[in-house]
Amino acid sequence: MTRFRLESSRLLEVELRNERVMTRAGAMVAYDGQIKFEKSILGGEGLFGALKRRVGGEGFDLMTTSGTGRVYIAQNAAEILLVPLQNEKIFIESSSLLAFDDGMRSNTVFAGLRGASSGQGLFTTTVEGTGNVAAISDGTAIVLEVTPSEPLFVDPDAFIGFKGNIRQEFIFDVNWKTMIGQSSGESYQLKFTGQGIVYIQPSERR
Amino acid sequence: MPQYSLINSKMLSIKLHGEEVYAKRGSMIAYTGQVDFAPSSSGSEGLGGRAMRSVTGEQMSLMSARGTGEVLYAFYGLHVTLIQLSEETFFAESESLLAYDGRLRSGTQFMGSGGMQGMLRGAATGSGLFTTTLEGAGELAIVSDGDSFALDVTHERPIFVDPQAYIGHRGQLQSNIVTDVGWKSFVGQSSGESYQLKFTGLGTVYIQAAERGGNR
Repeated sequence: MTRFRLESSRLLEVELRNERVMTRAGAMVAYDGQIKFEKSILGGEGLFGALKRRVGGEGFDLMTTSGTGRVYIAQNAAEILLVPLQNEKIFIESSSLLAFDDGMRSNTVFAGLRGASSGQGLFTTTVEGTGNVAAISDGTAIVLEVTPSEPLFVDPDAFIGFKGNIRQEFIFDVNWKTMIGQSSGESYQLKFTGQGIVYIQPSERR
Repeated sequence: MPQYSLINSKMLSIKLHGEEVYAKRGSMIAYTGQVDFAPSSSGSEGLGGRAMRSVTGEQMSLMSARGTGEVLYAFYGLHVTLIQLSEETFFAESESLLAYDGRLRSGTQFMGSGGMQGMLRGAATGSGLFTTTLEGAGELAIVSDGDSFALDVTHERPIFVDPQAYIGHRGQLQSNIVTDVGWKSFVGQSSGESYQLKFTGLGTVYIQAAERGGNR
């Protein structure tokens, strides 16, 4: 299994021993050893996954990074959230996905009416299996727990991802004030119910 | 001798006792005492260096501060790193250079070894293939988007760096531009990592956790 280590809160070091990771295209800042970078045409999801992403407007590209050596990865000086998975599944807003182990399965799933006005894709990326996942967060990521007795509401622009036995739905808070242009700016939210963990960033995507 | 100190990770203080300090234009945020500021396009280098800069496009937009007092510098909330030189040469990406003074001599150098062809390529892409050199003994300050990282280069461990994340290097290092252009680059499937700077030898390379020109 590949080794992920945070060199600092903003720089990820991935050690490869003849292995592969999927990383966001263009996120490599330095490396040593024998490493190859190739754009992953299908994003590790087969033709259908790639097609769905194209249609869904998931505006991000992955590259496969393979070989033996150390790769340093960073994106816009954003802070990096490392999530080790033990036979679990994580849902990540794809614009926040930075890198994951190639041994895991990834897919693009329909996530509801996200971003009808926030301009985000209609799909979220899932990564499933055992290994490491790295996501970027504008500011230090906040981990919130969801329990059956306490559902959680999150601004879609601050949402990074979630894992656990959680159901996600969209809540619209539209009333006559919204209609006459007196919106509070918080007209719709993501609602999470169940048992699990939600990751958010202390900033809203522009 | 000007005294450099960091107020916090993003703010630099320089105490002047009659000397002249060169800094990125527009980076002064406050000062006390009697200090005069003037634009300077070339810092502490001669006419030849100035001509070299206009040819290579490695422009430095500097201002000088002269007088007695304390000047505070900061640049768009970027992180500041202080570097101490003892009779050696530091190579800095000019955009990352925040401040230095007359104890260091500045110049321009090409990073690659591809001869004229490589030089033209560098000039065409304009992304940090020429660096500013600072030579002598003294301090200098660099800025980085996110904190800066020092990566050690040894004879057994050459380092490859994205030119847009490169901020500087020191030591006995040779730099080369390596291209990784395969058939995929030609059909629009580039990984976005088509060329890199390769450093071999013994020394230290400084990088930042962001790529210049990236969308924020």
